[in-house]
Amino acid sequence: MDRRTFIIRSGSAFASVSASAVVHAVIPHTETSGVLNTSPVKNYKQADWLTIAVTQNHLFPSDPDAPGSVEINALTYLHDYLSNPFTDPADVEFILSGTRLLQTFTQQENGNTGAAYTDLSIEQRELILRQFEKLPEGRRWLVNILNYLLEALLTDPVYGGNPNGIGWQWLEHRAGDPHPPANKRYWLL
Amino acid sequence: MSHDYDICVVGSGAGAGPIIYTLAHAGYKVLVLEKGPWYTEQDYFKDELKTSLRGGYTPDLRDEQHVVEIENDDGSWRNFPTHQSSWNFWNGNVVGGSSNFMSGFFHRLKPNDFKLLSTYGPIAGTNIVDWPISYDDMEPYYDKVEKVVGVSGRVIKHPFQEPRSSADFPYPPTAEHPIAQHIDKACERLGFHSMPMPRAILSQPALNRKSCVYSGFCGSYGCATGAKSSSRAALIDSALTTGNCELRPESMVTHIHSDKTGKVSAIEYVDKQGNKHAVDAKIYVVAAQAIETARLLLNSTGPKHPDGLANNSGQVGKNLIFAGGGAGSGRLSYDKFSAEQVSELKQFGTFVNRSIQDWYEIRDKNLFKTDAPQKGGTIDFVHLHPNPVARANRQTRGNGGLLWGKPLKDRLHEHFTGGRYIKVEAFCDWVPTDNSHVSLDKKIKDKWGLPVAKIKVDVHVQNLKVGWYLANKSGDVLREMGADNVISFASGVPPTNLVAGSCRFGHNPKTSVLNPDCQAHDVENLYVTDGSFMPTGGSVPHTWTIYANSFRVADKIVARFGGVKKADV
Repeated sequence: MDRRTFIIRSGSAFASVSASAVVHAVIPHTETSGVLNTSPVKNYKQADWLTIAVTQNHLFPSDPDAPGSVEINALTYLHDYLSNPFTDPADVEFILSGTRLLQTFTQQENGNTGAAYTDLSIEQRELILRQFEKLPEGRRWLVNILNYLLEALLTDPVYGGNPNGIGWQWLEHRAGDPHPPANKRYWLL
Repeated sequence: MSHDYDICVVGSGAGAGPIIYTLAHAGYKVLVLEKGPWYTEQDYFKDELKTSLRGGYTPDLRDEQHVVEIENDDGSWRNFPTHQSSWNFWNGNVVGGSSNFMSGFFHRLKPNDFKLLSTYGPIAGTNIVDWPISYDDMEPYYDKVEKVVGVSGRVIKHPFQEPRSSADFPYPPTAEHPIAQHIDKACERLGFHSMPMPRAILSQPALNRKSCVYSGFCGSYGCATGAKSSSRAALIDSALTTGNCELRPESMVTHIHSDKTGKVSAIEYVDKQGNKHAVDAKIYVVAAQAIETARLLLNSTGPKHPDGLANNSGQVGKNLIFAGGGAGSGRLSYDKFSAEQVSELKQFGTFVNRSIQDWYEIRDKNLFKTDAPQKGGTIDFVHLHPNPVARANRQTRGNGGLLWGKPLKDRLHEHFTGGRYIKVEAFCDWVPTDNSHVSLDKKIKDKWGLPVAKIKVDVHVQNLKVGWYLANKSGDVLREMGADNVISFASGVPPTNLVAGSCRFGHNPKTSVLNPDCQAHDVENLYVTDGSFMPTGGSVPHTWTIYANSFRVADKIVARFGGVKKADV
């Protein structure tokens, strides 16, 4: 198990790890992708990425016999999508606003304790997310996060998720030929 | 007077391809203006993101959208722009149009489809009319499509088999999935006639194209072998070899100019760089699909056409139709079958290829409150679409809210590995009414500053009655097969990829836009050859008929020009 996998699989152990370390572990090329300076994704803070990563792990945890968000590269996949200059800026802003709303919502729900979302136990996080789901904005955000998780699980590995077809293998899905090569990913055609 | 070209064609899909092919091979200079890019077999991959999730072959709705008007439950109407909805009426803006992405379920219309009004009588609240031509007029061109465009199949006897000039299809059926045997046996027990579904897919190398390789991803996907009989692969590639055809992709036609006599004088278009151009030709053909064709004509006002080109009768955009019908599905759960059967059911890549047309005409007094026969429809059996993300996303909806965590993962695993799904698509007439039409939206414009099309969609109760009848019959078959989780239903939602009408043809200039040759009544050098011409749509997908009619009109245009210049048609 590499360091990145260990960190994410630790579940609530996220709380004991600095946000910076986690985000850098999951998105190692954040500082070098070059597109961030011109993309609205530049507004994402480390705490935002951590909130997203924790949520992905909660919604799609790793199991001994099935891949989870870490194994399918879910955060890297979403980061790459949001960083892509061809992505609708409204999508980038929507994910960020939902992330910030979840952070604020958690603080409000927790009242005086003021616990941060990323510090919650799995049980506490489930309660918060179920409450968050009752908000129209919260539900839309969760639907989107789930969608990008499933894209990371089942789209072609050339897009950064589903490494070596791990999602396809788990679900016995037969992908079709020919697969898209890197130079003909959807925004390059 | 000299012209840049003999003929200028707007669009390159199924309605345009036969014109392009026939005129180019007949020795005439053809210019094709296509607003989308020019992809070939080397550009089509089994990529769900490109194909289905990111709208890779359709315009960005922020730049080009539609306005939809639909009826509320209380009878009032509401409208909304598609950019703010989940609706999308674009179908493939690329060379070859949406024919690149069709499933290629090919059925001919039946003789009675050409005379719906005189055969079945009027239905209150509809504008059903007879066609100005007969099945006999179209049959030679259906036959031509089989041979030139490429249709695979096998003719069997069934109660509504239409007359054919060729005994059988020129190409044998595409390879069939073992599930077809389950359908056949169930139908035999029920006394129904299952038949091989004709497909616009080559089952063997022919026509300078490769055979299908059975990738398992066909409908919605561009074909990487050329086996799918798209307008581009089957017709335009061939037309280009003549040296008589020039294709200009990424050329958006913005206006069709007409002179003081009412004739078209030039076509104006904008290229990829935003530069404006104008070309002229002896004859102009518009085939941009029913909605965009109507919009282009309505936007193309001129001195003799103050309300839009060819619209002096006010008929452009009227009587828009879709394909009516229903849908259903069921699952053959693996725990009900032997290991050998499960192994067969898990086969991937080949087609189901089964249809039933036993109810192309229906007699059911309980449902229709009359002894008179009613026009029915077609049932097609297909695999559940294999797009995995779409399938997985549907599993996130639980009864008490969103599903996530282990419950989601358990459901995903069960859905993907626990059985084989089979889907049903039922087709019936979407009857034309006063409330289904295309007009220009008064507020919203596209990125070129042109008013976008406003699409008013009306669902007549007849569509739903027939749709339910067919859906119930399909459910009977699914249950007889041993399927569980069987659902079947009629649908009032218009399939945005199966659209026709809007410039219907007919004898009377007051009630139709085009004459029987699909030439505009009031613009003698303008033809419309996409599905716009259809007054009624038949109870099948429209594409074969669009191809056939375009070949028919092509012969009319060649004759008008004086016949074939070269002998290589």
